[in-house]
Amino acid sequence: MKQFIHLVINGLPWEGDVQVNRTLLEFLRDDLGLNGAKQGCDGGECGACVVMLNGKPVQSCLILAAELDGSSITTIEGLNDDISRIIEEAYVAVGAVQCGFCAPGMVVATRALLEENPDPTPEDINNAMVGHLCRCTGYVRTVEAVQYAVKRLKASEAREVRTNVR
Amino acid sequence: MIAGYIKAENVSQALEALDSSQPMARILAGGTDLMQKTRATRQKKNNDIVFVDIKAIEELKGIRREGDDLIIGPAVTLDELMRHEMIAAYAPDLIKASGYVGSMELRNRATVGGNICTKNPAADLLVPLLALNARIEVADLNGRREMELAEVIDGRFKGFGRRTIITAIKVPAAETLITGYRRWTQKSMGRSYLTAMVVIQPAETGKLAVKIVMGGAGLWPGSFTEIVSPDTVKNIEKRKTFCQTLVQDKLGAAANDDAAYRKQLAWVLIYEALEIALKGVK
Amino acid sequence: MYDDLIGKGVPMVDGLDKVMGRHLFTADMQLPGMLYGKVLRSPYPHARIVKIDTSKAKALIGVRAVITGRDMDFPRYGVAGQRILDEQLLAGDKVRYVGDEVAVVAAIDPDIALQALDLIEVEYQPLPALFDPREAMQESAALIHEDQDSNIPYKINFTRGDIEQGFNEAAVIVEDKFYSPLHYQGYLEPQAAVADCDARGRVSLWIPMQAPTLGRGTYANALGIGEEDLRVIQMPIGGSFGGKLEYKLHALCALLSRATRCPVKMVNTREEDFQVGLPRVPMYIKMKLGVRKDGTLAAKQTEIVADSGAYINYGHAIMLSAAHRHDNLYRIQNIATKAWLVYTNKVATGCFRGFGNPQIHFAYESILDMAAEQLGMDPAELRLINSSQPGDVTPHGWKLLSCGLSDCIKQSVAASHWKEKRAQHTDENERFARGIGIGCCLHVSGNRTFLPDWDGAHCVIRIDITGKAVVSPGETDLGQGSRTTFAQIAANELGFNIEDVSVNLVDTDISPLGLGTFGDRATTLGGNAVRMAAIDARNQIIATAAEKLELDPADLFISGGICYSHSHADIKLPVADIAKMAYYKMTGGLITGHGNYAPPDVRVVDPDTKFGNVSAAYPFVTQISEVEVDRWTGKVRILDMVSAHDLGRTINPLLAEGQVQGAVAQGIGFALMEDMGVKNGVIANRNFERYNLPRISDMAPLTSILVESNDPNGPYGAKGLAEPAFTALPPSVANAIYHAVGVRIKELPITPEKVLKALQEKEKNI
Repeated sequence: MKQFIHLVINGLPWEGDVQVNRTLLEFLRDDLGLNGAKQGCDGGECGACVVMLNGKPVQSCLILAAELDGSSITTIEGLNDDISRIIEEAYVAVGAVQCGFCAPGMVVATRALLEENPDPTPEDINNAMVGHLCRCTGYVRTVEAVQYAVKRLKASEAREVRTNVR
Repeated sequence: MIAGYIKAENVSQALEALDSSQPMARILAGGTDLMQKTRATRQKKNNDIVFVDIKAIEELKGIRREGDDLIIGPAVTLDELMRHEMIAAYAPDLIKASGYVGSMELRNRATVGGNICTKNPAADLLVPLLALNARIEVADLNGRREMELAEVIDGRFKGFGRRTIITAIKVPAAETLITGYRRWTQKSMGRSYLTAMVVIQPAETGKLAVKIVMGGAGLWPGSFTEIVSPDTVKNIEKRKTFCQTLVQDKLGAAANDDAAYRKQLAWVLIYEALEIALKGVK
Repeated sequence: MYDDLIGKGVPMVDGLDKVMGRHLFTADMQLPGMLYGKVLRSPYPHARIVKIDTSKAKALIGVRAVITGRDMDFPRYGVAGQRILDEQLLAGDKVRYVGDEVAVVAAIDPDIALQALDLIEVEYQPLPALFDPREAMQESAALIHEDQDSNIPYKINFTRGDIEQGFNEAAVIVEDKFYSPLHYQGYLEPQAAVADCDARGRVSLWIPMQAPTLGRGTYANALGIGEEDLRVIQMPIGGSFGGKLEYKLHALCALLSRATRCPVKMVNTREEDFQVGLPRVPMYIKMKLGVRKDGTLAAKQTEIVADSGAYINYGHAIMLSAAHRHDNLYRIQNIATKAWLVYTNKVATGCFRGFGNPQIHFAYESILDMAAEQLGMDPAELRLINSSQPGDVTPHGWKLLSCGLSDCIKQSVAASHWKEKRAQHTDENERFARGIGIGCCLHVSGNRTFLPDWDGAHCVIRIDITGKAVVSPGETDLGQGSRTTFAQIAANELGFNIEDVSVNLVDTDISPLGLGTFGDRATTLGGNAVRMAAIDARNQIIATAAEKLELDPADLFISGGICYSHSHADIKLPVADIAKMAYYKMTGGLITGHGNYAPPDVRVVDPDTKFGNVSAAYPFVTQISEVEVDRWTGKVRILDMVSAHDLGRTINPLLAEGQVQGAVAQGIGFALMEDMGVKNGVIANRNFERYNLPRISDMAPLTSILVESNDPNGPYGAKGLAEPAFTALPPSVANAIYHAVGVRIKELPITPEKVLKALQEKEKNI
């Protein structure tokens, strides 16, 4: 069975039929070719599938594509603003990325955190990232990455950074 | 396989959809629980589920004050609940309880109604709502009625059946309640394993009325009110004895294999909840 | 002079791709006309397959292939170097565990494939199943593999010195039993494979695979084809920790592609991955240790029953590592060890960080503390007294050319305020008690335990006419950053900027036929080969320039990608220009450096005595953990940790510390949290909701100390890293708990329930 939906994805309008059985995660990956959100568990536990829905971070494996009529979705591919770029560079610079499977989900969550709370405490960071499993890094540097991004953001008004538009 | 997805515009439409699509119709609110629980079913072609999405129904959203009550819409997300100034003013334990649920991503979708209906006797919001004497309004094809939340749970969690929708959660607005909330989970982002909440109010002749609601051990969830002298709960050794005795005598035999461990944790959680609450008692 | 980049914290060269979501994993691949494969798995732990009817499945519209074990004579095979061929791609007459592969289906979409599985009718005749290896090893037990004499495919029995004399000399003898359970790797990327065929039926496999060369051989055997008909292309790996070596899904995907002549993708669901992965080998360990009055270790007697699950996989080598590696950690001469690898009707077990070391060190390091207590000696002191030293040749013939264990112990003791904290004791009536504990371990840096022919590495480096270097190693990047380390080593020796060096993933058609990454071999063996190849390339660049400039090659050097002269300050020749000169001269050939590294003086162990120096270098670790135990709930909270790692030489401190942090986090999971919960052969905790992986809130402050013992064999002195940092954590926590509350838990994981129960029993006994 199909459902016709309109939505905005990474700033661009989209409309069409979606299978009602499809999760948002499957829709992004299989129908739209946006592979940045990963399927780590398909059960809402690992956070690798996190994207923004109407500006808030959500687990895309727990949402049906059919529910999204009228919504706006931003995936890692759509995070092209300066703040996101600084976050991404921070994760790399402090060594908070190893295999990279959990990384896009963490970046989206970090973007959401800093949008709401530009100066988070380590406890705030822990609370924001508890939904993200990482088996490689031990999370020590996750906290450092967010703190480093905050530091860089404070130091400079977000300068014009060369963006890579998909 | 999800055979149908119906986006209800109002309660009647939702009720009709639920009724006509049994036995596999389910209310889809936040989906954080439902999607996990139906994962295996959704993958099989021969199990036809119908999801009835209630998120577009305006009357199920929002938080407002009506007389002495706070009215919470069942489709309010935990995130919205946590940010609402009326909850902060009149039922701050709900904010504390919500904060333990899952992750920020989960709380952006999970709803108050969903948390109550999840059939976990230790459900995070269920216990404080019971402690706060919440009532719920439910609707089915026969009409609407109001019930005490405690009445619904009634010692054996029956829920409401699949053709019923919660339309409102009503919490008496109380500005100055002395409370303590504690929750135990087995896993780092796990569901609640045990939840305890205490409400302390003055009783006659200088005594205290201590209401304890415990979810996850023995009866589910159990609610008891004891009238005690303040010293029983203020003195650390006596408090310990009080909690251990309460659990021993009042919590019935549980069916779980880990019943003994739950009983041990139960008195510790009640003890800690009392400790938190007593910080507010003169 | 070429030393600039060594010791620098260079961030991952592919880091930005990863964070931006542009790093392509196997499940992200799409090929035109791609089919989706699914596996029909046995619901029984042990059963005969009476009949299989695939007709309904084949008739389902959209299904392109259905294959069962009856459709061809599937060859028997084993993983690389393992001589008992106990596996077949699809079950023949029997299934031996819940999850065993019975049939595969390829269809035009995943839903149809799943539906087809339901339409395959299999008649099983259930057989009695064995879940406990101690039962399965009895003479009377039913055979799980009927073509073998028993359920014990491998045994070990060796002695060193004089065990009886040793125990006679002991002032203190401690003996106890320990258990290490099934343990899931928990990599975030579920197992996946994509396969495609060319017109002649030659298969290419795109897989997240730690050892493409070994996989090519094993899968060719499994498919009954020649290695020449298979190409293995390594994809970026979303975490592996040992779990992505030879894995059946890869070969099954190739099978379906060959059958359909179409591309096929297969991805495990997370539940499948739990049930049919290759979790850590469980072990029942009995250990008896004798210690002399002066604290020296007199004798050790060990018995290990290792649970292979339904198939051996790398069980034989894992058991060997548990049997003999820890004997080289401290000086001990009198040793007697017996070990049995036993089949059970459970998931086949396999490699996971540490191999068999974590299991045995949990026992050994716990027993050492028990002995220290009886002797009235500080546990750190006991370890220091017995510590192996550089230059030691151990009773197993291991040559410890470098050994920083003593420094690890001393430095971690100092950094953790060990002495003061050991002296503190919490009153029995206090709810919260603190304790501090120590654990040590060692590991190998690559090893020749099970592949007799060689354990070296080869690397090829091409210098392009643009002045960039392309490195082709034989060792894979698992996500830990070996590409970055290799780029660093290559850039360092070449005199290039690191941005001008790229490192390829491994492709068996193109790359050197390297053994891959496991056993902590990548930096020591792979790194040496990269270094040699870079030196070779540099020499060729300089020779070319020298000829053109008519100067002595010794006069020239490269820095920042430019060739300079010691004697002529005006010479500034970009490498790109030199590369072009060489290219014209070689009529299209590019300067290509080769590096061939064979670790000196290593051998396969003697098959019976297990004697032999297996590795070129041995890393050592000391872990100290401070805990708080809640006597009322049994909950253990880790307060602080110090990890001292003798890694020989730190090539990249950012990556090295990252490994330590990740290892310690996994150690916390293994020690306190992770339980697969197997019942009647079914993994009860088979998703992340029920299986408790450490989250950000579970980490405790960690001080990481990197000790540089400068190994003569390692590149720049570097040894392996990453596995020992994990191994030492669990015993340090168990020992800390004992210090805090006087109970010793001998079965992992140390859950609150176990601690509480032990505390309650202790109270009763007083």
